[in-house]
Amino acid sequence: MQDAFIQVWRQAGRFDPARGSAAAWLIALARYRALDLIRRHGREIPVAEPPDRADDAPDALDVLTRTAEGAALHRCLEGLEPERRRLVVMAFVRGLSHGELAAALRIPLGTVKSSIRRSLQSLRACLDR
Amino acid sequence: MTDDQDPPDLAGEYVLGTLDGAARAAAEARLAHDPAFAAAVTAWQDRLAPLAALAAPADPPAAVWEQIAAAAAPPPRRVGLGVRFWQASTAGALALAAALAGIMLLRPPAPAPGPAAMAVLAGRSGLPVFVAVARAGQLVLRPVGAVTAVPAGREMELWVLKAGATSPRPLGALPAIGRTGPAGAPVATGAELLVSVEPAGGAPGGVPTGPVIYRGKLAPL
Repeated sequence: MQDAFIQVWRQAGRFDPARGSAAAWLIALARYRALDLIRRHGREIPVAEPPDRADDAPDALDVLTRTAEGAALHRCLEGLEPERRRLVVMAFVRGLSHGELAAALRIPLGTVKSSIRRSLQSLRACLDR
Repeated sequence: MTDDQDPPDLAGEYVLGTLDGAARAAAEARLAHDPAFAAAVTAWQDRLAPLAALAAPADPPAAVWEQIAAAAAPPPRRVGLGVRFWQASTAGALALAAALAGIMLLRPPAPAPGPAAMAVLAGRSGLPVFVAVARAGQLVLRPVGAVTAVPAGREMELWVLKAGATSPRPLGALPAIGRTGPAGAPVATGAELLVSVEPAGGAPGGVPTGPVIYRGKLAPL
């Protein structure tokens, strides 16, 4: 996180308010930095974990409804099949790659890739409506 | 598989973070020279940002902030110039040293819980100079760049301009280490923080009289 925020200050001039929200930009930069570290040096937490984590709980997504943008995303996620929704949320929250998702959930890599693609297409169509 | 090279929502997969090392690096390289791809990535960042609410909140240790400020500060050469320049004015040099060394804490008499927000205060060049974090009725300013030296007999004063308001409200002088800031915080999201150069003791009449040298809008954290 520290590196991510240092990167933010260095790149602050590149932020264009006309193109996106500042919060989303900050979140994205912090996540990208974390993903870089994970992909390069591996993660400290094992990928395969018992399925009782917050992102797997049925009502975990309810926190999204606190903001208007979150409520829209929540509604669109609810429109996905439960397994696909779980894949998308796990990927975002835990920073898992296609391969890691396949290993963690014991489903074929091709299935993970096509599920993510279809989920993203559905989300985009739903959110941009 | 050729479709691995360019799936319809490569930007979405990049933002979601599912691309493996090589594919991720390729997407990153493409950001620099493909404006359409960069725009698609920005759109996906906005779409998926609310998911960050699912991550467990974690407050970094104070040392992390210290190191961020140190790493984000400009090269020592520029600091040295500023200090040399202001050796003529003890007050100015002290103020600059204090600003570069430490944290400025403005604590309202009755801290009220409120939404967290942050602002990056920048000068006309756009380079960030202060980072302000407003949380639980407390506003913390941290220098992250070369702070302009203020002439002798003058001081920097912090103001808040609420969204829609026409005149700013004074928040106190900078640096204000250990000083109790005036009441008036918490500062609302969407408000703008301004720093102006004023006569020592504060702007007379409670309105800025000097030039506004830094400004930045508070965005929700």
